[in-house]
Amino acid sequence: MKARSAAVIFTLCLASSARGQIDFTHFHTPANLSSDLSGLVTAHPTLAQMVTIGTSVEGRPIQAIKISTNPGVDDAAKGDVIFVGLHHAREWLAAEMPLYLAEYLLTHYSTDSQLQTCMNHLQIWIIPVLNPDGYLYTSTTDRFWRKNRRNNGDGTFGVDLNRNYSYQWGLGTGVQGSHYTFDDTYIGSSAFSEPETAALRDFVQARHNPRAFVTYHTFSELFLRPWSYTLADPPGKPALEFIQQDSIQRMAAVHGITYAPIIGYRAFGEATDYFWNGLRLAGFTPEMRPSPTGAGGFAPDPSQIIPNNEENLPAALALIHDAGCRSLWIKDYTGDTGDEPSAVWLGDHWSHDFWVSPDIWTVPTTLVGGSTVTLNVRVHNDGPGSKKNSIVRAYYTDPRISLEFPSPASVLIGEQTVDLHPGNNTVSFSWTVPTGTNSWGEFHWCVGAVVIHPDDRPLTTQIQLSNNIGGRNFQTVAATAGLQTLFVAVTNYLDVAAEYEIDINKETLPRGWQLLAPRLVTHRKPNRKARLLKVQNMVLEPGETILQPLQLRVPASAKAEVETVINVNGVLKPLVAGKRVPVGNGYTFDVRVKNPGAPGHRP
Amino acid sequence: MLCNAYVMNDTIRYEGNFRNSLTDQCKRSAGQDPTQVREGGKNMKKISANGRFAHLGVLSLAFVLSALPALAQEPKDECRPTRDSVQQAASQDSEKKKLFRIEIEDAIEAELITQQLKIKPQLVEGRSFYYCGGERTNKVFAEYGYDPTLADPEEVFSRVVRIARKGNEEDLRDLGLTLVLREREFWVVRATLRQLRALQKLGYTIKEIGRDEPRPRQIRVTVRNLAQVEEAGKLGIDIYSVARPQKEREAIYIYGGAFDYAIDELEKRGFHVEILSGPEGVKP
Repeated sequence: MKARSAAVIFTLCLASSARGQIDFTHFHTPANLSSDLSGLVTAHPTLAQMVTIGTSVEGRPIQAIKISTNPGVDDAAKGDVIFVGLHHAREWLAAEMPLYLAEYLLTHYSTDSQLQTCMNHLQIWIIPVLNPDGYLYTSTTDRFWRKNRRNNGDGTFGVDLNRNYSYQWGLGTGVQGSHYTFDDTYIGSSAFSEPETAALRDFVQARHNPRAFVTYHTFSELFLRPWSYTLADPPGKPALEFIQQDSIQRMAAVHGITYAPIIGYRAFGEATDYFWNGLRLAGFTPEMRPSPTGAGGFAPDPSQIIPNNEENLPAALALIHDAGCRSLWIKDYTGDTGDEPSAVWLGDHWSHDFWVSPDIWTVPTTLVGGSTVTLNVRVHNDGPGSKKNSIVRAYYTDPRISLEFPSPASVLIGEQTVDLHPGNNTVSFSWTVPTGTNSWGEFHWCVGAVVIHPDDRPLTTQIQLSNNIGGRNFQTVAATAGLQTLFVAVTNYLDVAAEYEIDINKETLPRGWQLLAPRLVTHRKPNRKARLLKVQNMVLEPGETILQPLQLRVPASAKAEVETVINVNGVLKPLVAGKRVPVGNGYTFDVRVKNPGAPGHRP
Repeated sequence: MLCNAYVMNDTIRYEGNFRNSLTDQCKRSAGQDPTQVREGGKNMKKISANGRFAHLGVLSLAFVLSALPALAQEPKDECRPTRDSVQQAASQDSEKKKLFRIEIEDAIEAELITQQLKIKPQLVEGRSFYYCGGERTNKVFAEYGYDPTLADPEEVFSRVVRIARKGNEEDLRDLGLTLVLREREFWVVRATLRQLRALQKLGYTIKEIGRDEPRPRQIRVTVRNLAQVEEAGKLGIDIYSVARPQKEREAIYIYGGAFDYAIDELEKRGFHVEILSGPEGVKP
């Protein structure tokens, strides 16, 4: 806890010194917000650039400030962090905070070496006003206008932009998302009917490496994470929940206001739900000042602007730190250098087998049900100092393609709170291998390890997307000459149907060996989403698991005790519009030839 | 002149049956808006008479000019029943387009249709995807396993209109209309064109709402605990703030906006609702 306190104090010092040139003692008008944004770019031409991500329904530009060491270049090697303000026109604090953040980053880049290091690895996109038409309308006509200014064609105006994203769109009623055009929460005639939401969707999907997303709103002093539409847990809940809780603590340390950690806000068609579902982009919604019973509601006193900005800053900086700075990490494969992502899907296979972490191993290596083994996890600390009170957790699961750590299927082996020193650190766990077999009759387990520190938090639960997570499959297969069948399990943990693809790395197969993945026959009628996307492969519904057989033929000439490693990688591609971000991992079979010529068996 | 331009741009004609709203709109632009009073509820309160419309007369020129961009992006298509027949005839191309419906699973499927087939929906409601198309479009849909059926735009699309008050609200309830606002001289309702026709047969005068887009009433609801705040929020009140009064510590005031259908529901559930004058906001 000391480390966390130190981090908070450090951030507080930064926050209190964040006094730039922009006047935050009064609310900006749309015109002077735009000119202040331009002024930042003019003052920091080597770090900032103005970008227009689209135009509003009335034709106004939706402006973003891009902050990067090479702002004129779209650098695929850098991570992208996106901050968005003012979905809702009347929530003026939600435009002030992103502007303040932009000024803070630009004015502190040269003096804060830690911030500089993180920013050097990122492209930070700040969109203070997503709804410029509504914003203008609130400043000229109706202070409490919420929606954009779409002419609905029936005598009414406006669509609630934060009910217009496609995930779960249209499934709510009333404030969850109204079908009445005159309501303040009108969802629009269809998902992404509005150019503002379509522009943000297209902008985020065009990013090479999106890491985190924040959308500012007011009011009630809440800190929301997915899901918004339901109280059920989303995939990757532990990662989101940790950041939510940690952000609330950081914010509370500034002015003593503790935001409530909320899920299930009951908004359907909301932004963070959309980006988490489709891109697994960690997204958060601070519902800022005032409190539910505080003065001002959507029109707080301007004296609230600065303290509101100050208390929201540490959460934003922590996300930038997580996205841009690496200190604690676990290798995903031998050549892994800690990049995020460590592997990318190249259309038919992963660029690296990222489920073979050399930093995770057991003693002894062969797992036998009921035996107790030592599970070792090596954590690298690239930072200059020790990371005290770091948490290392180890899990095991039935191995599956589309596995995340932790996942709904994972079982905690152990958790240790340790000080991680610069260099390599090994953390050991005692693990009693489950008695019996996994759910399809094999002694085959997948182990995952996650390292977390308040200054270094995983933004996802996917192995390849976070260097805080490592995974390794353990399976020893005894093979004999002739044909035998191995199995790969595939589970769709997504909330939407997904296409499943599999690829066998045949480069490691010894000469004369054959491995085939017969196409599974399905009698299920392909669903229409699959037909629209011209998907030829198998489609798995949410929660569905299948066993993919692999036919291994070992030649009669194979010698006893010869060992080989077979890697199979697979992926699930969600059946959604736009960028279809694949999730998945793979299997490693450690095949050992036993008693050539005898019928095959498993250990 | 200004008033003529305003009305020419704004009025949407319904087969020549609905009265032109020139007179009312000119009156309104001159600041002669009728006093708004919500009637019918137990907790009827007087509403500020100089609320929303008073500024319009002074700034009618600015209003007309600022309306132009909005008019420019008013939905234009031949499947909506919002254009007069002359305009419809002029815009028809070789393929006569009509409104069709297909059944979809969810919004993601609607998005995929737009992306893959380049067919934009007119409206997505529940599992219904309505589109404006013809034989060619329907053939494409059929190839993907959809079963397009002709839809009646008069039942699909709704309008928000004014109707002159007549009798009690029984007719509105019988026809299934949504009562948006209840004013002294008129009601603002949401209705399909078919419902409006039925209303017209019953002798109601129907007018466009024109520039006066319905805005929620500013209300204060008194509750006793935060659970009731949440309950009120679910009934359609758009909560702006929640405040504990200093003197009466046992009561919590919810300030927010709500239309009359929501206020009716709040009152039906036993909430004490007070109508306030319009928000101070930012004056034009």
